Amino acid sequence: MSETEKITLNDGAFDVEILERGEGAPLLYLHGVIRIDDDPLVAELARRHRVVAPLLPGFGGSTGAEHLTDIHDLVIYYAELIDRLSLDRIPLVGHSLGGMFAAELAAVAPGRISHLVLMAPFGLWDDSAPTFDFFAASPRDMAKAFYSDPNSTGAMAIARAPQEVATEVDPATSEGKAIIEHLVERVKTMSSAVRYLWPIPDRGLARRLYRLTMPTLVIWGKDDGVIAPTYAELFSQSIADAETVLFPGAAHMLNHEKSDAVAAHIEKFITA
Amino acid sequence: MKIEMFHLCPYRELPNDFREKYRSVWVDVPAHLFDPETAYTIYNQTLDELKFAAEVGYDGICVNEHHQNAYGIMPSPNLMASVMARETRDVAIIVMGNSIALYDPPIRVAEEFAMLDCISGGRLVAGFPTGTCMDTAYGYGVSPAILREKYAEAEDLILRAWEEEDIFSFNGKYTQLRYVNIWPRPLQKPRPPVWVPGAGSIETWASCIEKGHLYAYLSYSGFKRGKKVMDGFWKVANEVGVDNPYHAGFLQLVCVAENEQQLQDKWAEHAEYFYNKMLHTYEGFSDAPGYRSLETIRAGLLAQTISRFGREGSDTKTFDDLREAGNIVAGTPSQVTEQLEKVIKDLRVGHLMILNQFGSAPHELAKENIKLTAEKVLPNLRHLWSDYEDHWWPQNAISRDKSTVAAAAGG
Repeated sequence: MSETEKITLNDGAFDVEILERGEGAPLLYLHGVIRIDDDPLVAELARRHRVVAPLLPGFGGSTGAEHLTDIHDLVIYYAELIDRLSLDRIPLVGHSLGGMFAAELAAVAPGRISHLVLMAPFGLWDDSAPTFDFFAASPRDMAKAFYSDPNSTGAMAIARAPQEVATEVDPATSEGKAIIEHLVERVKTMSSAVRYLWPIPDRGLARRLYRLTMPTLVIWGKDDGVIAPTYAELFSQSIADAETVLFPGAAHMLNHEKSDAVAAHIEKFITA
Repeated sequence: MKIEMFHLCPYRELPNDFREKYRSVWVDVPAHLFDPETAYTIYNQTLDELKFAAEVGYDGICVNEHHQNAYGIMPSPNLMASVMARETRDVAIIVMGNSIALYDPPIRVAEEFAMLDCISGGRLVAGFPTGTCMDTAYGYGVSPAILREKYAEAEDLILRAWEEEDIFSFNGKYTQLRYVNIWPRPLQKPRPPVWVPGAGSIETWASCIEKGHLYAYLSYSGFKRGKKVMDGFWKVANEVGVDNPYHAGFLQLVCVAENEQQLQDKWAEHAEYFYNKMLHTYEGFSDAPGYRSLETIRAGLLAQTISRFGREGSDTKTFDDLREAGNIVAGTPSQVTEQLEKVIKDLRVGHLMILNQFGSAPHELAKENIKLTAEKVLPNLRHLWSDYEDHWWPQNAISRDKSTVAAAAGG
């Protein structure tokens, strides 16, 4: 099964675009701060699960980010979403920004989540290893931080993002149109992310991690230049039942770079 | 026509290889380049230059707010304005302004501006900038996604704090106050005029017109880009029947000399210092996501004071380039008069803010420029727009002759 549906929450305040892939027991998947089309990890997981992947507010057809002021609003949004989708006692996989959201939801509704998988999540802060300030980074530096292999297609796509080539562009030209479209998309997605990540990606999750009582898998790319792999230990030491796995040859986009190995490990963890 | 002298208070001693060696004059400009003894000289000379501008005939003096920035070392312009409130008698004191989304609670701004208005005898112009991305999102850590909403709420609170006669409660999203009751209240009634400095965000135009605030386009890009922005403002204004030129202001760099040779000898290096070093800002800081609205981006108006990723140091400009592009108006008194008259008319602005000191220009040269501009250019421009009334100028200022001031000062 492969389909896209759209539902609305809170009397129309939010549209949520939801991708569904595969059949089987449901699994909720929250993508990261850089979302790629046809996420290979979703495809892998869909071989054994019905993967339900709502796009984060501000991404694609998911709207209403401006109504989410704080973590309280955010977890209510997701609590309402899983109610509407009748998802209960399900595995929850969250990556990057989606990993932060997954941890926050699991802390509020631990009974709803059977297994939690946190892939390089935001949410904690370590002065000795500041997270990468990708909001201020050049496309080339971003590519290096997000991908282990700077020559991979994903890395190249980031590095070659259209840049502001002038202090003003002419919307009537095709070049101007392309730059404006890129910037509009960047603002929609990233201005949603800044609500949780600016100026420091810490909204108090550390105080709530004790609520993660379900079996939890913390996974990280060894080459992650966005959030250092040392954060894996910071998470797992505060979570009662946590297992940590680091993947070589992968950076922040480990869903893209090591989708096979990551999926295999997640399957093993869920069925154990 | 009103003409004001605007001072950025730049740090004038950046090393020669600044552009090659460092990535930004703003946000992460290296701390070790700051010498407090140099700053002692710069602050005091800046205050002297502002006072001098008032003495030789400018209508107003302007100071502004920047953070973590070597081209403007006045994080609190109110401190400078406070000195000027005492040191000058008749000029308007234009604080351009306080970035009201940065202050918690924002009534701090209402209080300090009210103090300045009282101390100066009702000569304050209250500037409410959104603040640049570098100042607000990076320098002060305000999320760019909420900056404009926070600004709007702060503006509402400050205006009410000035205008309402009774104590009130304020239940905002960002500020909650059970008792709003500022002491002092501004001397001007109902409040000082509000000027909104903009850098080209289009939603600011409509909001200024709707609220009756002056819109000032502050840019170092000169009158050629300025024309495009001000045309946008007047289009919005004309749709609702607003055409008073005093509703708008514009910033222009100006240098005046007796002849072309003097101009080149005296000003070229300082102009190039300003544009090539002081505007050397890392591009990554200029446009945090959400800082500019989708409407502004769709209109094709992008950030303006930035270097390009991967191209730092490659696009230096010469004094002649800068004059040609309209960034700087430079010439003999008659040439400058002629050019500024054209700028004023083309952009339809009743307020022209002039930068007479910029870049590394030393004190004596800055004073010479201030004097030449005030004495040989300003008198030939004042007659412009005499058919219109300036509703954006301090009203009912207390007349302060020397004896009154001395008595008030406890003399």
